[in-house]
Amino acid sequence: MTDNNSISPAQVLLVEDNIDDVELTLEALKDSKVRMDVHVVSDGIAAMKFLRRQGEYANKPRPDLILLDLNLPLMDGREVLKTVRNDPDLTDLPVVVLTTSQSEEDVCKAYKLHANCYISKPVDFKQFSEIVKQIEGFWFQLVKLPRRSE
Amino acid sequence: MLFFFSRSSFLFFLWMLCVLASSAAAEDLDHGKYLHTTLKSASELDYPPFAVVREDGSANGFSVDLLKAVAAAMNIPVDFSVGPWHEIKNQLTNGQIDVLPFVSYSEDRNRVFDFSASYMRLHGTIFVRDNEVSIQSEADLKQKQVIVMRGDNAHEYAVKNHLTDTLILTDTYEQALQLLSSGRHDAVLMLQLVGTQLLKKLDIQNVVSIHSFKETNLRPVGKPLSGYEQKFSFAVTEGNKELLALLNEGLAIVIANGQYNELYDKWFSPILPLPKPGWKELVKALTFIVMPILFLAAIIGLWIMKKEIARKTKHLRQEVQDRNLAEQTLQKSESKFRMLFHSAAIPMCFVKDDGSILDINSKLTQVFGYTLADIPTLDHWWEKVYPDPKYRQWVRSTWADAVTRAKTFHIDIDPVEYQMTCKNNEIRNVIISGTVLHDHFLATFVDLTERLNMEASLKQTLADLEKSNAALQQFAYVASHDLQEPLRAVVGFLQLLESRFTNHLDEKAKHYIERAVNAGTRMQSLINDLLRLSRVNTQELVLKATDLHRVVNDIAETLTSAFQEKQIQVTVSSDLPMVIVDRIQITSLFQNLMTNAVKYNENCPAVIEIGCRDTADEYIFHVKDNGIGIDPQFHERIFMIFQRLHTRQEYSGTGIGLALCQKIIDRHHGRIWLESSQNEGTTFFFTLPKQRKTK
Repeated sequence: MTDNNSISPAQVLLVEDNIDDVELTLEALKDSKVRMDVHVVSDGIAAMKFLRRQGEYANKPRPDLILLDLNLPLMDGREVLKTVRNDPDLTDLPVVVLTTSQSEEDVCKAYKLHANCYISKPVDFKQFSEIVKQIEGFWFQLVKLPRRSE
Repeated sequence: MLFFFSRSSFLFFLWMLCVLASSAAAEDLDHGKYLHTTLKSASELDYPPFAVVREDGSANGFSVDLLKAVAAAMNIPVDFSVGPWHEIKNQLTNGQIDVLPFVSYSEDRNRVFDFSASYMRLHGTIFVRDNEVSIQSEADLKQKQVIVMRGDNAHEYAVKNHLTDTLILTDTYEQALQLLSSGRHDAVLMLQLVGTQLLKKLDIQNVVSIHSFKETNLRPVGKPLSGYEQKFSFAVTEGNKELLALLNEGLAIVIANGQYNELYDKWFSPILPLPKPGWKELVKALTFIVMPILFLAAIIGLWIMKKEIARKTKHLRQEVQDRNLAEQTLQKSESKFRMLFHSAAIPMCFVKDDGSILDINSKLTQVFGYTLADIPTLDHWWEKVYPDPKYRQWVRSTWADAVTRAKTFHIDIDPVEYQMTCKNNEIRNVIISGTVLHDHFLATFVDLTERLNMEASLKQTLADLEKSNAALQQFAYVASHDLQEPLRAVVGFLQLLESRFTNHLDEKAKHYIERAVNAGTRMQSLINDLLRLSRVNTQELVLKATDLHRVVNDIAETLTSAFQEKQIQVTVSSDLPMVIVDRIQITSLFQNLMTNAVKYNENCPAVIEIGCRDTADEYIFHVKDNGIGIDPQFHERIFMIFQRLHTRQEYSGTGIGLALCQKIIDRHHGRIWLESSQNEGTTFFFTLPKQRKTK
């Protein structure tokens, strides 16, 4: 990815219905060293449409990473995760579950549905900012992601 | 009883005759001629019991005795000679003797002798050997050889009537019977009484009278031989009227004074069966013996009867009392039964086998609405309670089966479930059973409707509870999750404000922001603890074999990073067991206890010791610290939610931790307690059972 860094920004899909969270996440990502385009959808159905580039999302790029909240309207994060993993075109997409829930049950369920990692959002913005930075560093600088198909 | 009857009636007639004859003779006859002369008489050799001969050769027998008695009555002496009959008969004819004592009357003889009144009448019969079957009556004698005593009446009778072609003559009947007994000739014709007497005397067993074949020897049943009826009298020489008159008078006296009877008894009683008393004797006996006895008996009887009546009366009175008592007892038990029946908490009815319903209890009316007037018989019952004919048919047949089974095996009527229609048309599910009592049965009704309703409502309540429980769980989850989102926004934007506009804020503004952020952080941990507590309450336990040694060591490691400013020394006993528990909850338990052990501890280092010992059925764990300790008065209170012993300035915390521990231990069927006092450290104990109890 670092190779492509200069060529095109990393594509991130943030699936989050709470606009406060969206803004705080975007604020945290502002300080990022990595160039990235953050696309935001606020429910599970929109997320799937985005991923499959349907309707209004027809021209949107395929994301390199999904930041997925669990509790979403219309179709919740667990359903999205399950659908993504069962879709041959999407199954290799890295999904980071980023949620308020600290429930042990949610954690287990997420990993069972093959989430790549589960992160509990802290109340403290400084901590949150730090976490976001680490995500960014980990996924876009450290690990090698599958090549984008387009 | 031919002889006896003959004698009694004959004697009476005879006596009358004698009295008349003697009184007539007394006037014109001088009987003084015989006063001092001895009468000469003679008796035959063998004609018992009338004429027998003693061993000394003197005459004896009834006739001899009778003549002696008659002569004595007239004061005339008499002398007897003894000889064969035909000889002594000739002696009388010739006048050699005066009188013969025993002569059978016949017209032929009457021409030769004069006869006194007869004193005895006898009948003749035919004697045969007991194997003789061809002689049934005198008509059968024609071809037979018949023996008679020469010159006897039987001789005359046989000749006169031409009874037989072959007549055998003997001198005595003794000879005649011996000849017959020895198998010679066919029959002997003679007087039955004399023959019977002789047979007995000679001990002849094989000769019988034809009249005794069917009955006893002495009871001839057939008609006596016609014409062979002999009347016996004293006989005197033809024309000796004077003697005849004396004899007749004497005879009358002897009969009247009872001598005749004495003699009769003397000679005939040994050979005759005891005579039945005649009606006269009966009357006599009745008058003089029986009546007094009866009278006495009546008096005694009356006395006994009186006593008996008294006794019976007493007995009856007792019986009446007993019966009254029994009736009272019965009434009591009946009223007791009635009371039980009517106060019973379940509907009952009492039915007779003929189908009439004798009684129903008030509970039945209360539950089903029917009164006895509505259902006087089982037929009414079937009609009203089971209005659907098809269902009614089924009920009747199943019930009849149940009753039959109960009667056959002497058991209670098996319970059967039916749907009964009440008087108000309400349908009720009822189990009917009962008991068979003689020709009744007692049916009992268990109304399932209430129970079914209750079951349904219980099911509903349970479902509601489950729903509300699920809702609560959902609520707790949503609350914690959704409360945190705005909380994080508040804290996040405050912090963003602080970092992005740090140059525009003075120290005071920065302090306020810090206070708000701290409060937010505290609120988050409060929310998280509440969430954990609600989860412990509601979540299904996931029981797995868990290595507690590892659980405790993991926590110990996180403690060190959580309390970096503190020096901590954790000692974990090496024998912590594997137990089957909910790993997450037990981890939370140890986490809370161990965190408390460090948090409420001013010592350096903070020393924590974790260990375990086991009893037969449980493990007892302990978490011991050298912390600030807890005043015993608070030992119970600290397990209650939101109970805190310190201000937040002293020690942070939500007041949920130990309540959570208590809850976890409860769910694992253990106990939790502590030993501590202020400034002396604290030891928390808790138990976990070795065997998991099934819910």
